[in-house]
Amino acid sequence: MKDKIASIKEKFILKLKEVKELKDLENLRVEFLGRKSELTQLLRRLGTLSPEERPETGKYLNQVKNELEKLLAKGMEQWKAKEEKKKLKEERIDLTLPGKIMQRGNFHPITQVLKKIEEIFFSLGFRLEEGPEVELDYYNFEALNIPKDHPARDAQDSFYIDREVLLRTHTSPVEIRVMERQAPPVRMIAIGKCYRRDAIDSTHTPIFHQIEGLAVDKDITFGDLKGVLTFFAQRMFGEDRKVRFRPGYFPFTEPSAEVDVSCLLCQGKGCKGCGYTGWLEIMGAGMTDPAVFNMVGYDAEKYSGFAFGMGAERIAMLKYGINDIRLFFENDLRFLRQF
Amino acid sequence: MQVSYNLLKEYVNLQDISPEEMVYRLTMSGIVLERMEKVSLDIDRVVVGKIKKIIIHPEDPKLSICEVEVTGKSLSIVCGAKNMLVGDKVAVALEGARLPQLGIINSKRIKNILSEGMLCSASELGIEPGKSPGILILDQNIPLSEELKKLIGGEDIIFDFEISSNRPDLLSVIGIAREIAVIFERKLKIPTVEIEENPEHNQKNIKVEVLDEDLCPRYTGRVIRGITVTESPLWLKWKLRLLGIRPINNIVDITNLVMMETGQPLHAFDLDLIRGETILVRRSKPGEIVFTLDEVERQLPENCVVIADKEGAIAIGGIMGGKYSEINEKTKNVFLESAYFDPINNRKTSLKIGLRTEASSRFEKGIDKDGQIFALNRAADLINQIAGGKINSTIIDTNTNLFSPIKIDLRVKRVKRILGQWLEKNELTTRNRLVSILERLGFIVEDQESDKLSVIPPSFRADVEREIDLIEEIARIYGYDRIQPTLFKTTLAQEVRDFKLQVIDQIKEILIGCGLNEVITFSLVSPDDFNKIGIPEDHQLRKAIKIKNPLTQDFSMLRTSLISNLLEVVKWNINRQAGMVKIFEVGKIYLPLSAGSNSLPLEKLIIAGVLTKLEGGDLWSKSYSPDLYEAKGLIETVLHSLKIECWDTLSVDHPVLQPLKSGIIISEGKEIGIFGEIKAEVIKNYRLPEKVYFFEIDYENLISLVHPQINFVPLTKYPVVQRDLSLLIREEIPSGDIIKEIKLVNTQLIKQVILFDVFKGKQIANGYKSVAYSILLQSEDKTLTDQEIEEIFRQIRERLEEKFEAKIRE
Repeated sequence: MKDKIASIKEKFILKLKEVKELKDLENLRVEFLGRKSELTQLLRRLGTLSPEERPETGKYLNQVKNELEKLLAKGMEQWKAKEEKKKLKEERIDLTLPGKIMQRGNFHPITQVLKKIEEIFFSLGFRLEEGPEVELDYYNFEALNIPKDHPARDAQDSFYIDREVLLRTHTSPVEIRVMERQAPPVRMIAIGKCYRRDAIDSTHTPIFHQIEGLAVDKDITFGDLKGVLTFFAQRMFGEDRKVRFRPGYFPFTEPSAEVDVSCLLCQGKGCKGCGYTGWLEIMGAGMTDPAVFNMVGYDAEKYSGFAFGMGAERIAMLKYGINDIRLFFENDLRFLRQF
Repeated sequence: MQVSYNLLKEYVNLQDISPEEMVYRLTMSGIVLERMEKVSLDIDRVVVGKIKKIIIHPEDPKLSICEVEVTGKSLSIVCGAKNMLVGDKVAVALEGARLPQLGIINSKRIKNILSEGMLCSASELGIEPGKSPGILILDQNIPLSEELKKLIGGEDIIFDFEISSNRPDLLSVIGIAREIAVIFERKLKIPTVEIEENPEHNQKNIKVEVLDEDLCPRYTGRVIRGITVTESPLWLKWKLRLLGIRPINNIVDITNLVMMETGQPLHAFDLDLIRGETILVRRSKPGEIVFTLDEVERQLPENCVVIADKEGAIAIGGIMGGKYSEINEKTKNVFLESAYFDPINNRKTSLKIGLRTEASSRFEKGIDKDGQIFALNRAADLINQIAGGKINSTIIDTNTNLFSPIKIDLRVKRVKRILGQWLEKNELTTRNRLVSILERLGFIVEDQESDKLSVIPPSFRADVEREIDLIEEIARIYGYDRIQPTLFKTTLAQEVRDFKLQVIDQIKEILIGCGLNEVITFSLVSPDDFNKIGIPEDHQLRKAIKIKNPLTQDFSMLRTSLISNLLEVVKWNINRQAGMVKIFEVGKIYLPLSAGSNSLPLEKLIIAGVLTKLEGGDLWSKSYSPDLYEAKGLIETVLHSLKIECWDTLSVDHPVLQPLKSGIIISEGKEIGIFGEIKAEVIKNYRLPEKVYFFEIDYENLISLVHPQINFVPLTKYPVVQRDLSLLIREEIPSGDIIKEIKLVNTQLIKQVILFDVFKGKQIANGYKSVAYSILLQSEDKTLTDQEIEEIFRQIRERLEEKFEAKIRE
């Protein structure tokens, strides 16, 4: 019987070598290990052996059976992997076909710039405040030290609703409203639409967005103005930007400053974009005029502060190299999707 | 303010200061360059000649043949001008000469007579703009045969500076020169004026009476007799060219030159054309007319200031002289005016009559309060030198005390307090520095040893009134770039943004995630926009706030909805081959409140969007098309995202939306949003090819339902049971009502009712529809048994049959 078992094993090993596909292995299993297989039959016949022969033959039989099962399992594994590979190959996946895109929209570039500016000032503890766009002449001009008939009103030609009500020409009235309702310290920004009676061309629109800021405390200095706005300009336009401050004039600040950054196009060497000066003007700023503090009832001896204002469209144009302000309001999807 | 490098040199030593460095330092002290231009007389072989003889051209009486003596020869030159006389010195372009416009000049025959050169006009030489009326007549004392180029001083650089409205003192060559002198620590050279005065004879006396001193606080003047009006000499024309002023005649040119030099506008009257002996300075009478120098008859409104004689107004004070008493070639005697007019009134007048001049742009900002006499004498002196005549000794001056100096206290410590640092090492050295800066700027500093300086600003600096103004001057000259940047010394802990403002960003983020692009449009609209979106005449949305002074009709009203703006954007994009447009805007609408003045309108924040797609417009998603339910779904997506769970949908009557295809979403009694299909006629008005779906969210109402605080609900561990229910029901019964009824059966256990099919068609009886719902049941504290579920479903069937006569389909 032992010989018989050994020959079954040999036969199995020979047949295993001839396997061509996964199915052949399955057939092998049925043939050699199935219920009707020789081995199973031998196993049943063990009882007919003499008690002396039985343990040894039984042991041998089981050993061979386990061996065959192991070989079969190993073969199965190899063949399965082989077949999987074959199947994948037959599927012919074209990886260059487009992926399934979940089409997302875009924030308007002005919103993106405003968010970025907000973030920078939030990091310095400035708080976002709001105010009306349709504003009283008092808040837009008078309280900012621009009385009626002041020549500075020329530069901010306004849309009027009636004698005392107009569309705000800047976000500065928000400063007044905040100071009227809140004692110092103040650290605020205001953002929103402003209106000036300008005809539309590549650098003017009657409506634009402004960002305003104000800081008032017992110890604010012109040095702080320079430090804060330099911090802002370098976060906004790049750490390698040079920032310069030069005297300017605004009725509501004294001393007043214009803030320039080194030209983004020519790196300050001078080009058409910067009028060959190497500098681009980004905002106006200054120490809040004591006259403004008097209007809101702040003690100008005790407190000082600085304010600044800039146009969002101008900042966006400089940042992205956009040459026509009208693009922001045409809302051409080809334009919007670039940001 | 236009000025040139060579002109500035007359007032301040510019040795070793390049034009570039000068411009840079001026920029850094607050004077910005607008334009810079190199100029030179671009001429060659143009020399001084003298006319010996003039004869008429035999073939053309309009031409003359001049015999001109030049470089030891006598040339015969044909000329079309008529203003030359025998003995005049003129500019002769010799054979081969070069002129800026005409190029090379050669001898040529003009109507059979050989012309051996050309006699030049000032404009042909490039000395004055435009076209000169005749040839240039030169001063008699200019040497014969001299090259014209040498007479003028060759190359120069013109600077045009932008001057801010608080610095009228810089609207003068001396003002700019003073600034340069201060920055470079050099001496300012102001010309001295010494005039020869002549006693008054028994001739016509002139008196000045200022009737309205508030409008003209100071009026000075003097008389010069026996002058000759001619063209200005070459050097004067050239100076005016550098200053950007057109030459007229010697007298007017001198008044203009002195205005540009000192900043004090002057006016010269022909003394003999002043009727009567008294000049009145008074308010205009209503309807009073002045025929001004620019030959316009101007009817003046009230409260302008006029210069008048016995018969009426002869000039608009501080703005423009009158034609009647203008200097002309016959003028022999001149009355020269140098006055100070009230800035505010001057500005108002200028705006009212729509006329701004070099003079008014100075008066309106406030000129030197004590500069009248200097400018008057300076001009008289120059007139005397150039046009001859005798200066009358009488000076008219109605107010010698217009300028009253003020004293300002300047605390040295305050400078540090504002700027953040000492200018020098310590307080003492800083004080010395302050004194030096202020004195160079023309301020008088008293108490120089104390820590509180007493400072008196000069008469030309009316803009400096307070300590802070002095600090600005100091910072400006010291240099902003030398002040160290610092960051806040204290922190301020506060919420940087209200919850409400955060939600706006959140909503934008949601809609962008849904595939919509954000747009920003003009909040000013045209009245025609209301017609285009079909708002009825008496509708509330027509009650828009109007701009009193619009630039164009296109931007003459504040919008009351975003619809027209959004449709314009759709149109713009469809016209540019966009296949699909899905956009939204977060913007304000403006609604009038009460009628009373001074009350501000209601500014309401709205979130609105539109969706449209051309057939086959977007290749990527051929089968997809936005519809009414996407518009509604966007509102619902926002609500879900903001954790608002309950709302009702009702149909709504909206002027722009298709009836029966528009709805309103209401939650807790508040109108949250509107959605619908835009009416076909509106689509037609915008020439759009496809249906457009619209949605709008009322931000204020929405935000009132958003809870900043989220409370966690424990997750149940018992399973959800899902059963479907299909029923046949009358068509007009809204699905929303069915869902509500189903939920009412057991509000505890019925968690969700989801519509998954609506069907109308052949198999369904007319007037009926088939609807199918998935009903989700769940208990918080046990697994539901089949009996319990069956019982709930029995109740649902019963309720729907009873309420809606629904037939349950098995």
